[in-house]
Order: sequence, then structure tokens, then C-alpha cells
Amino acid sequence: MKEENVLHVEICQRVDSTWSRETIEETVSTEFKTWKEVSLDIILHGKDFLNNIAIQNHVESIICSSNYIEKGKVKIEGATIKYYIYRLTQEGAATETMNSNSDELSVASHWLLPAQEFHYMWENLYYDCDIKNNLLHFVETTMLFSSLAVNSNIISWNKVVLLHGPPGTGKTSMCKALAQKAVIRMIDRFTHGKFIEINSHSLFSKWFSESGKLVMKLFDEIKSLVQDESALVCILIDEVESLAHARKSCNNGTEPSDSIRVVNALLTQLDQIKRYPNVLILTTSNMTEAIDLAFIDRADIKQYLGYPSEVAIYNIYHSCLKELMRTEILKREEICDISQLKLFGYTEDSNTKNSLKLLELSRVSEGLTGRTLRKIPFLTHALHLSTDKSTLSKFLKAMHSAILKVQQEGELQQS
Amino acid sequence: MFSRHKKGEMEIDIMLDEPLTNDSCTKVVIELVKYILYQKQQIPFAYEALARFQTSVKATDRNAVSFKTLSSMLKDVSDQLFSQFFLKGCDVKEVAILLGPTILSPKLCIAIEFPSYILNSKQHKEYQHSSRKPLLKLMRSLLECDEFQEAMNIPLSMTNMFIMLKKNDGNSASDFFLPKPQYILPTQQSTSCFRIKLGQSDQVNIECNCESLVAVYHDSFKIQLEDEDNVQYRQYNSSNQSLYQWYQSKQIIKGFKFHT
Ligand SMILES: Nc1ncnc2c1ncn2[C@@H]1O[C@H](COP(=O)(O)OP(=O)(O)OP(=O)(O)O)[C@@H](O)[C@H]1O
Ligand SMILES: [Mg+2]
Repeated sequence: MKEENVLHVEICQRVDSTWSRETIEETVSTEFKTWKEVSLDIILHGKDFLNNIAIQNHVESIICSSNYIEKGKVKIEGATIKYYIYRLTQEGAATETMNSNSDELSVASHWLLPAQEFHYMWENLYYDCDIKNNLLHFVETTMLFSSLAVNSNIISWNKVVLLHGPPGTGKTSMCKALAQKAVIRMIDRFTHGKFIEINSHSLFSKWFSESGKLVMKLFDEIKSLVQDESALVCILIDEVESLAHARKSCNNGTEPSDSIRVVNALLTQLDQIKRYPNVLILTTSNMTEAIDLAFIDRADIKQYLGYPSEVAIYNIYHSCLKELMRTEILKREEICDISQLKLFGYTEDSNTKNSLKLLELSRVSEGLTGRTLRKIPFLTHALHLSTDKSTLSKFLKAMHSAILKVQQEGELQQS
Repeated sequence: MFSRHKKGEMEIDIMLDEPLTNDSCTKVVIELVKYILYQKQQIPFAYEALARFQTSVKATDRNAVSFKTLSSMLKDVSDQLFSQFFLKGCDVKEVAILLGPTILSPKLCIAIEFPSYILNSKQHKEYQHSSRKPLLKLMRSLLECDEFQEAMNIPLSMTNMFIMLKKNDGNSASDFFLPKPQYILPTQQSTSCFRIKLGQSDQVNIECNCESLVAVYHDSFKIQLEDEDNVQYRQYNSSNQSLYQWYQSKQIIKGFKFHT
């Protein structure tokens, strides 16, 4: 089997469909056989399959991707197709509350994956090179080694991922998207996933004598979830540096020593829980310098997420403009995606004019975070446009002003 | 009557002297839901007391509003459940009430197994087969079961209630009870599990004479009557167990706290 040729086809089955996975796979593969090629990393909605009632009624969406090519099209013939069929859970986060001295603390939030809330998050995060695929392969390898019980004294691997970088670069979103994607891709091994976000602030905002007990209680809970081997359990500790902080400041003798006990208890528990084959620990941090936590030091993958490059910015803007057109705030007009633009050799004609302008704006926007970039279209509309339906070229002009304004504000804040 | 089974699941067998109809099955479930909501402190007072209270205050009263939301959630579930019993090609075998953050980590799990035949209300009338008697018998059994009462007394903070349905459904879509193909009821330590088995004693006369008594049927049920006229009761076949799957109610039931 030639690895490069694997075409991953993720099929999101409609929640009300009672069909078996086999029937869904058969329906889609029959449809695909009539196709020559398929677009990668583009959401194909079931309802748009006008000639195929079965897909309309039973499939929410299909996303095809390949490990080696991003965007563009691939030929169906000759490709090894792998199908992943899943359904989304509809309910949002459930909070895990615990009683501490008659107070009710929400110590963790809990999602069943794949979740509606995390849907398309992965597709909407844009980074350069292969950051996303590398992370996914890392998780897949981790789970493969665990499930085959590779001896960890001989080959060592931990189950900790650390994403670090400046604020607003998509660290938290990436953790959620990664967990969701991993569950979808490993749907044959795990029937579902559980995503647990530990609210470490609440654990030690109450760091009186109770908090050590709280940590134990929380982990008792988590341990009982982990027993279910058909589930991939992802535990997220957001802003893990706050733990390191608490430790440091109490070494200085400024904080009650209880906080150090809480942090230590938490780290010990995490160390224990990650021995289970179906557990994955995701952490994020704003600090770019090394975090002095032995636990995090052992992270296998420390991925830096930084400011998006020009191409990534183009992709983000492109997705924003598409959304504005979908909701008819912008008039529907042609706008190239980056691979098309490359194909045309970046030459200007009536077709590529707007797209090239957008590329220019992307260049101007370098240095802004993903979070700010996703706000620009809103600001553009709020600050510069009064009519409710604008043309693309007018919108792009206004966008330029909005970008400059945001950058000025940023500089003011820094000085 | 009570026995402990695999992995801490407690079985409660209840022999009914009255046949269950589609209508009484639905009522049994909904009444049990109300009872659990109150016992597990998801609502501040017993459901009936809240219903009375709500009529005595202004419609904008916060508690009255919360109650209305809750009662409309229950009505929704009740209507949907009721209609499942009539659905062609669909056969309901079990209902489960789960209380906890998610369907995979409930604190309390109560499964209700229906007897192998349920009389179709299409041909059977409430006044002939009242739901009161089965309900009384059920509640009495639950009161007599110490383990069940103990489980009711374990305190629990505000959480979610899920209604699950185990059925064999040949239809291609199920839009209120959403299919959960690989789901199995939880068995972990932290869950108290009960299985209420509703059975019918042999002397219950299945072939009742409702049909001859009732000439005019309820309008909304007319549609399906033609070719089913002589189906007196349905009975499921134990050989097709694997066709039964769990479905989750789209409506999640949430209680509320009393605002003073
Ligand atoms: N590279 C990116 N591509 C697309 N969207 C992005 C990118 N980076 C950030 N975003 C968007 O920015 C928003 C904020 O992201 P998120 O909260 O995950 O950032 P963060 O790194 O966790 O920030 P913080 O450090 O402040 O917690 C999200 O809505 C996300 O979609
Ligand atoms: Mg964050």
C-alpha cells in the first residue's frame, strides 16, 4: 500500500439517521465511484448532493483529506480510500460540580466527542507547514503504541501535548479540534471520546484545607471514566503556567502552603492517569520560556503556535469572507482560494483582482493573532460600512482601514 | 422481588395485575421522572405541589417560569414517547432514565423493561385499563426497596436528566429519539443502577373486549388503523435481540432551584 495515496474520507452521519455505518459507507463509496476527482479539505454538505436522495437524507457532511497535500483536488481512481463514519453529539458541555464546604464548585467541563460544538473547528484553524497533520500523527502514534502495549521502558513516550505561544493564537481551540479529529480518525478503535477540561482556577481558588480532597475527588471521577476502554479520554489543562506560578510563589513564602499541595496532588494524579492506554493529556501555555514543571517537561510534543503567516492569514480572511457571503452580508462574488491563486501564477485579471487585493491585505496584516484576524471583518462592517449589502471590492478597501486601526491600537498598547 | 445482578445492578421485579397500555407505559415513565426529580433534589418541591403553586402566583414569577419550562419539557418527552408506541415498524422494549452530566457518566441509572406485550391503546381505552393501578404498584415496590430508597437519599447537585429508549426501529430516521448505535447502559462503580422489570401475571386476560366496546377511535390515530385492525397486542421476539438499540431523547430535562 502506497502511503501517500490514502484518501481520508470523514463522513458525518445525520443524527436522526438510523442506517448502519456499513450502509452509509456503501452509499458514499458508490457515489464516489461516479466521480473523477474530489476536493480536499472542503466541507461537502450532504444536502448539496442533489442527485442522491440517500446522501441528502443520511449524511450531514463529508470532508476528504490527504496526509501530504493540503487543498486542491485528487483523483479518486487509484487512491486507497479510508472511510470514517461518525455522528455528532448535540448536547453542550456538562459541568462536573463538587461540593466543598457547602459551596458548589464547577471543577471540570465535560463533552462527549465528536461534539457539535467542536465541529469544523479543525478545518477553520490555519497554520503553516504541517503543524496540524503532525499533531494528529503524534496522537495516532501515541494511541497505537499504547494499544499494542509497547514497553515504555524500552521505547519511551509520554502522552502529554503542550501547545504554547502568545495569546489568541488558537491554542485552546487547537486542543479541542485535535481531540475531536483524533476521535473521528480512530472511530474504529474508540467508539467515542470524552473531553474533560479541568478548571484549575476553581481547584485552588478554594485552597483552604479542602482543595487537596477536591483534587482527589475529581480524579476519582476521571478514573471511573477512563475505565471505559472504548472511549478516548482527553484531559485539557488550559494555561498550565498558572500551576507553575502557584508553585513558585509559594516557594517564596508569599502564599499559603496549601496551594503547593494542590498543585502537587494534581501533578501526581495526572502522572498516574496517563498510564491508562486510552488517555491523552493536552496542555496550553502563554509562556514561551520553559515552564518549570517536571510534568510538562516530559511532554513529547511541544508545539509552538505563533502569528499566522501571510498564507494562513489569506486562508483565515478567505473563510471569513465566504461566511459573510453565505449570510448575505456581502454580495456573492468569486474569490479564489490560495491554491487557485498559485495556479494562475498570481497574475492579475478580472477574476483574480479581488483575490490579489486580499493577498496584499494579508501581507499588511502579518503580526496580528488569529483571534484579532477573525475580528477584522466585524470591525470593518461596524466602523466603515453603512449599507447592508456591500460589494467585495468596497469591503476590501474598508478592511484595509480597519486593519490599520487595529495595528495602531496595538502599538499604543505596547508603548 | 429484589435481587442484585451483574456489576451492582439491582433488579426490581414487579408483577402487574393489570395489562399495560401504550398510554400507561408513558405515564409510568413520566411519573417516575417526576418522582426522581424531586427525590434527587433537582426540583425544590414535589412536582404536583409546584404545579399547584404555579397557579397561585403571577405568571412572571421566576419559579413559575422555571416550572413552566420544566413541564413543557416533560410534555414534549411524554408526547414523543407516546407516539413511539404507535409508530409502524418500531418496537419499544425499554426506557432508561439517567441522571448525571452525560449519558456515559450518570450517577443514577434506572432502566424500565416493559412486559412482552403492551396493549395498543388504539383499541384499548383508558377506562378499561387504568394506568392508576400499575403506577401504584410500581411506587409501592420502589418504596419497599431499601436500596432504591438509599440511592434516592444520596445527595446530588443540579445536573442533567436523559431519557433513553431501547427500540427496534425499521424506519430510516428517528428525529426526536436520536440513534446511539454503540451505546450500552453504564456499569461503572460510581453509578447506582436499577432495572425495573414490569411483568404481567398469567391470569391477566390479554384478550380483553375493548374492541367491541369502542366504536369510534381517537381522530389522530385513524391513519394506521386499517391493516392493523386485528392486531390485539404486540409481542416481541426474543431471537432478534440484536436489533434493539438505544436512542437518546433530544430533550434533556433540567430541574431548577427555588428563587426566594
Ligand atoms: N491560526 C488560526 N487560524 C484560524 N483561527 C485562529 C487561529 N488562531 C486563532 N484563531 C481564532 O482565534 C480565536 C481565539 O483562539 P483561542 O482562544 O484558541 O486562542 P488561545 O491561544 O487559547 O488564546 P489565550 O492564550 O488567550 O487563551 C478562536 O476563535 C480561533 O478560531
Ligand atoms: Mg486559551
